[in-house]
Parts: sequence; structure tokens; C-alpha cells
Amino acid sequence: MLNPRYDIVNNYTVLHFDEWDILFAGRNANNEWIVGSLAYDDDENNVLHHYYLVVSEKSITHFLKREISYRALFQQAMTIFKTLRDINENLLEEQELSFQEISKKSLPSEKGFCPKSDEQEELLQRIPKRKMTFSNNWQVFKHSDIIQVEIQKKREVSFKKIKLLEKVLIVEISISINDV
Amino acid sequence: MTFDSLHADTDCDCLGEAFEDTEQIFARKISKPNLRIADFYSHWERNKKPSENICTEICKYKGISVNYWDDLTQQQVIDKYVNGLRLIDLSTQIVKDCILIFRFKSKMGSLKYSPTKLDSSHYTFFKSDTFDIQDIEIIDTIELKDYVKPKI
Repeated sequence: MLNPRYDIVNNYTVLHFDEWDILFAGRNANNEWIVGSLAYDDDENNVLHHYYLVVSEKSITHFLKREISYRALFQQAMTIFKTLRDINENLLEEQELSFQEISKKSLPSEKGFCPKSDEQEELLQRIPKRKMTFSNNWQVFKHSDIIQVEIQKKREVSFKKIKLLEKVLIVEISISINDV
Repeated sequence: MTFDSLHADTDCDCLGEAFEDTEQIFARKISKPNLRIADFYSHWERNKKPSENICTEICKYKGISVNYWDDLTQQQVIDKYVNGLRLIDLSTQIVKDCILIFRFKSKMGSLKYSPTKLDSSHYTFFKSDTFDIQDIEIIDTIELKDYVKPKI
């Protein structure tokens, strides 16, 4: 029986493998992005402990681009599930957790990033590219100071004389502000 | 060397192109510094069955992953295990993981070269009927805890 909140039913991609799927990602039945990992292979009791993170499109993009660690992804997760499964991956127990409820000693290392692979690149390509917005793209912020200065400097000057790139960014920002 | 146990519950021949090697050095991740029988259990021996009942999958589940270990491959092997460990639960029990560096002795089993895109030194080992963990010639045990110790 699949849990629609965290079991992956679409775009299942293994991002790191070592006898088991150690790190994997895809979409759940609600079309949300899930990043899962094998937390512990308990070979004495023949059971597997997994984490499943429900994450935003923005967070999984940063994670796949190796801009944030797996530990940071835990912090950004909207919901965290921990499961216990038997050796054939039948569900035995499940638990919904907040980041604060997970012992720091049990969290992944700060040095743990998504390994580079063809699978990681292919999954990244499957995530729809979002238009830059004022709130979620630092490139716009980076350029916004320059644009403000240019606007001040060129207040008396015709809009036509502002460079094309700056025009694009001004339009982007004005659209984003209007969207907010 | 016989493999009756390996083939007892399948018609698949898992040993095509497999060979015995008692000269080269191999590596395998183990859960604790002291080698246990469970460290050399295959998925099949743990009663995990493949979702597809085809010989490639069945043989994969009946084999045990090891890596060829020399000056050229050892960093790639360490990276594989360390990258995996950094992604998992770092509770005290986990960081007891080690890399066992070893040789097989005569009649312990056969190896098949089974590289993947990211794991070019990967071999699958099939245990013979006389396999005994005590016969493994341990060369070194590398503790992985220092590679993944969390900063708290």
C-alpha cells in the first residue's frame, strides 16, 4: 500500500547506489517532489530505515545543483517522514517528524551533497524552469542595486538609452512586484 | 569448487565468466570493525527477492558487492562509501562502518567483473559451498567515522 504523501510514483531516480538505493528522488501521488534516503540498513533485525522529505521545487533544484547539502534540505523540507520497512520494503511503521524532532546526531553530515551523475543531471532537466522573480532569484537582487543607480542617474534620460539587459531586468522586477 | 547452494533454488547460471582470484586485493564496506558473518550476506540470503524474476536480477541478488583495491581505485572506492555515509543517518551505530581490505583464499568463491558508470572497479562475488568468513585474509580495516563525523 503506497502512501500518497511520500511514496514516489513518478520520475523515480536513484542518485546514489551502494547495494541499496541510498539516495533517490521523484514525485509523489500529489505531484510534490520527494527526496528519500536509506538512513540505516539494520542487518541484525533485517529491516530498513528510510527518510522521505517533501520539498519545494526550489529546494530540490538547489540540492540537485549541489548548492545546498542534504542536511540543509532536511531543514528546508515541508514535511519529513521516517519509515521502517522489512527487507522486501513492505512498510512496518511510519512517523511524521519536524526537523526539530530529529536528533542532531542522527542528521546527515554537513558535507553530504547530491553526488554528481547523469541521473542527477537528467532529473534536474525534468524540473520545470521557473521565470525569475523578485523574491526567489538572487541574480535579480544582485542587479537591482545597479538598476536603481542607473534609474537615478538616467532619470532625465530617455528609457531608450538604458542598456537592453537592464531593461529586461527592470521589466522582470516590475512584473514580480506586481505579482506580489 | 562447488556452488550447489548458490544454484539450489534457481535455474539461472550466475557463474558465466566468473573466476577465482586469490592474488588481488579487494574491499567491502562492513558495519562494525569486527568482521561478522552478516557482512558477507547477499540480498538473497537475507531473503530479499528481486521484483523481476529474471536471471540478471536473481544473480545480482545472489552476489555480494566488492571492489578491486589498488593505488588507482582506492580513492574512488573510499569516495563511494564516504559519499553514501554522508547522506545517511549518522547515529553512533552507523559511524562504526569500516572498509575491509582483504584477499580471498582458495576455493572461497568466484568473482565476476560488473562495473557501473560510477563504480568502475566493482565486482560481484559468489560464495562457494565451502565459503567461511574465517578464511578471509584481512589486510586492513579502515574506519570511516573520521570522514563523516558531524559538526554539532
